Amino acid sequence: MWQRVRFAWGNLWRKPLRSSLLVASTAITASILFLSYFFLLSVDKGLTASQARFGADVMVVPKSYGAVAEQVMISGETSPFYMPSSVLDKLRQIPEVEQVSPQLYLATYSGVCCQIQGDFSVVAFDPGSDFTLKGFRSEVGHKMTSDSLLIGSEAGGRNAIAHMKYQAYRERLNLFGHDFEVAQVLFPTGTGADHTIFMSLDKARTLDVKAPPDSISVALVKTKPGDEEFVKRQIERTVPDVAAVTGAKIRDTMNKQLRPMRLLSYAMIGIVLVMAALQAMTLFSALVQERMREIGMFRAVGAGAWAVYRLFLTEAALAALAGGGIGVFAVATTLYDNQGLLLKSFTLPLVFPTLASMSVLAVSALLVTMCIGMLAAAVPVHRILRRNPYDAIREGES
Amino acid sequence: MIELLGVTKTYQGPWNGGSRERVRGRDVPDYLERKRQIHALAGIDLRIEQGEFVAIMGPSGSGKSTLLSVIGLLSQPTEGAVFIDGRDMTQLRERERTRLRARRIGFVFQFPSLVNTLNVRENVLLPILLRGSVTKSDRMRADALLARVGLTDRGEDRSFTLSGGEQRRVALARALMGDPPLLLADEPTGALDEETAEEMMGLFSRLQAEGKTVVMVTHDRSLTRYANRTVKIQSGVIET
Ligand SMILES: Nc1ncnc2c1ncn2[C@@H]1O[C@H](COP(=O)(O)OP(=O)(O)OP(=O)(O)O)[C@@H](O)[C@H]1O
Ligand SMILES: [Mg+2]
Repeated sequence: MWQRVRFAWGNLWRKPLRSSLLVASTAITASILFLSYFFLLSVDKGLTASQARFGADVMVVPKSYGAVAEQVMISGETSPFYMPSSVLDKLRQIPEVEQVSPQLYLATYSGVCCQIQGDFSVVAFDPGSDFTLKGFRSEVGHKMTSDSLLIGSEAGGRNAIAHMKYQAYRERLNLFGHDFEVAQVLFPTGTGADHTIFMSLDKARTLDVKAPPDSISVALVKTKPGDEEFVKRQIERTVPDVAAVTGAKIRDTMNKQLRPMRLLSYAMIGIVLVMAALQAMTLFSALVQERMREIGMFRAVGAGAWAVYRLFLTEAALAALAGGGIGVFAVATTLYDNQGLLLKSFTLPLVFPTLASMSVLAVSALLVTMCIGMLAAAVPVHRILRRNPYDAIREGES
Repeated sequence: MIELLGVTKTYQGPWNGGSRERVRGRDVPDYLERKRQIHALAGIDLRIEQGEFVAIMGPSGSGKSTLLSVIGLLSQPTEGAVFIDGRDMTQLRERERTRLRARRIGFVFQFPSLVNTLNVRENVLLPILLRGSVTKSDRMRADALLARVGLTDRGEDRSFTLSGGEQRRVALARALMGDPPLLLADEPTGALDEETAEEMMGLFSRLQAEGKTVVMVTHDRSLTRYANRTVKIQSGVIET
C-alpha cells in the first residue's frame, strides 16, 4: 500500500509544473466549496437563530400592551411593562407548549460599555430555560455565572468579540451597585437585542431594581410544530390579563425573501463543482494521454485493468488531497482567525459554525474534490484500457 | 507449445487512425471500406515447441514486432487463432489474458521501457509493485536477477542514469521477475556492441537450457546461431 502511494506520488512529480497547476486548481476548488458552504451554513444558522429571537413561536405580554405586542416581537426589544411570573406556570400547563422562557425589563443604562457610549436596555433572562438567545451566543468567552453579563453586538459586543478568546480579557460594568463581568457576546441579530445588556433573572431578583417583585415583562413560548395559532388562542382563553402574538407570519415572510438568495448560492456551488470537474478532466486527460505508452507497458508486464486504475486513481486522489488540503486549511484558518473582523463587516445575522461542524465541512469539501479528481482520471484511463496493450504502446510512443 | 493458425493483423490506413477492432462488428460505411488497409500480418501459421529458441528475422516493417505482440497476448489478431498449450487465446476474456501475461510471459520491448521515477531495482519489481506489495524476498530475487544480467550493485541507481544497453538489461531482468516459461524479446541487442550482445545471447541460451521457451526478433544474422531455428518474415508472411 505505502509502496504504491509512494510510487503514485513520484509519478505525480514527474511533471512538476503540471502537477503544481493541478494541485493549485484543486486547492481553489476545495476552498471555494468550503467557503461558500461555510457562509451558507453561517447565514442559515444565523437565520434560524433570528427566527427564534424574533418571537419564539408565541410571545406573551400583559393584556394592556396587546396592541404593541407584534411591534415588540419584531423589534425584539423588551419594554418596561410587567405581569406576575405566575403566568409562566399557567403557560406550562398547556400541553402543546414545549418551552417557556421569561424576560424582565430592568432599566435603560446610559453610559459606556466596552468603549461604546449609548443607551442600552438592561434585561434579565433565565439562562436555564432560554432558547431565543442561545443560538446567538459566541463560542468564545467565559462561563456565564450570576455575576456575568451577556452583551449585544451594538452594546459593545463588536469591540469585545475580538478579545473574548483571551482568558485575561475582563471587561467590567457596574449596574445597580453590583460589579458585573462581561462574559459573552451576542452575534448581530438585527433586532433590539443588539442594543441590550443581559443578566440572569436570579441575580436581578436580588438587586434593587424598579421592576415589581416577582414579575416578568414577556414570556417567550415554543410550541409543538404547527400549533402556534392554537396555543395563542388557548393562552388568551385560559390565562387572564395577557395578550399573545405568534411569530409564524414574520418567519414566513423572511423565508420567502431569503429563498432566492439561498437558491442562488446553491446554484453557484453547483456551477463551481461542474467547472472544477471539467477543468480537472482536461488536465487529467492530457496527463493520462501522455502516459498511454506507460499504461500499455504496465499491462504488458501483467498489470490488470484494476491495477492500472488503482495507480492512477491514487495519483489523482493524492493531487486532490494535497491541493484540497492546502485550500481548505488556508481558508479555515483565515476565517477562524478573523471571526471578529467578519462580524464587523457583515450586517447579516451571522452565526459561526462550531469547530466540529467546520471540520465536517472541511472533510466533506476534501472528499468532494477527491471524487472529482478521481472521476477525472478514471475516464481517460478507461478509454486507454479498452485498447490492445500493444496499440496503446505504439500510439503512445511518439 | 505455441501454435498460430492463420493469424492476420490488419490496420486501417491513416484516415481513422484507430485500430481495426473499433470498426469490426459494426456497419462499416463505404468510405471506410475503400480506405487503404495495412496487413501487418497476413495469414501466419507458426508452431513453437516448448523449450525452443526461435529467432525471427525480416526487414523493417515486415511485421516482426506485431507477430511478437500477438504471441505475447498484447494484441488481438484481426483473424486467426493463437493456441498456447492447446487453449485458444483469442477466445479468452481480457482478465484471463492479463493473468497469463503476468504468470507465463516475459516481454522485452524494442524501445526503452523503464519508469524513470523508480530506481533500477524498483523497475525490476514493477510487475509486483503494480499488483500487490513487494516483500523482502522479492527484493532479493530482483537483486539476484540484476546480478544475472551483469548489473550487480546498480539497484539503487535511478533508471535514467543507465546507458541504453544497461536499461535493456534491466528490462530483461524485469521480464524474468515472474519466472515466466515464455520469454519474448524484440531486438534485445538493438543498441548493444558486439561483445555485450554476445553476452546477452549467452544469457538467453542459459535461460533456454533452464527450460524456458525463447522467441527473439533480431536483425543480426550472426546471432541466429544461438537459436534452434530461424523464422523469416516478409510483408507479414512467413517465408519458407
Ligand atoms: N497501429 C498501427 N497502425 C497502422 N499501422 C501499423 C500499426 N502498427 C503497425 N503498423 C504497420 O504494420 C507493419 C509492421 O509493423 P512492425 O512494427 O511489426 O514491423 P517490424 O517488423 O517490427 O519493423 P522494425 O524492424 O522496424 O521494428 C508496418 O508497416 C507498420 O507501419
Ligand atoms: Mg519492430
